[in-house]
Amino acid sequence: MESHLVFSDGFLVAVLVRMSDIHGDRAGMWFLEAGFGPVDHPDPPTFANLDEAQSWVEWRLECKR
Amino acid sequence: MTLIDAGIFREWMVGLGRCSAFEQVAHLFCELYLKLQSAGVAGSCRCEFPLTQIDLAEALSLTDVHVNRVLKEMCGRSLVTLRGNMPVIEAWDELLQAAELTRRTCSLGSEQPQQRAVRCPFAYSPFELRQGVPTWRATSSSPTGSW
Repeated sequence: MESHLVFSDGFLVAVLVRMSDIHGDRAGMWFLEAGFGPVDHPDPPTFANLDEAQSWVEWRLECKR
Repeated sequence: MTLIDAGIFREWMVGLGRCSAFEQVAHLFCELYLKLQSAGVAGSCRCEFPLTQIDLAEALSLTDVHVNRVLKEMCGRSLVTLRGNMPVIEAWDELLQAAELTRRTCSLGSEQPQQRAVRCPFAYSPFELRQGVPTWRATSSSPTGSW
């Protein structure tokens, strides 16, 4: 399973996981497996690519400052 | 509230707080099946179940992505098969064990489900029985459809 840890200022803020073939038409998309602090979300989103995911994480961090 | 009601309510709280996703889904399947069977609308380890993975995820406080993983694992282990809107429990004892239902309340013993007659109200589950079909209570805001 391909995944990424996302850090901000040295702190872990998110874990992104690439969705596998079992997820049908969402396979290949990125899922917010876990978010920490301001990145935590009750309804974790999926992203088409990592750039989109990064923008969303940055936005969450920014708007919660 | 009866003792059975209270027992079911406690099970939901414990499940949401302390059980793994796999255990929670297994428990939900077993509990719903027993309720439907006691209402006379299910048998042979199969029941009508027109709920989406999103419904299950909301009921169990999981993500739909993770519910999908759990269901795939259940199918891979031949515990459950999904035929349209009808989940079929292929290995009742194993699913019951996964759900840890045998140690629970609600008068649910370890005998085979078809031999059991229990009163299991839907009052404290997120689902209610409408015309013999389990229905997500918040149908106006929750999408429904096939698996």
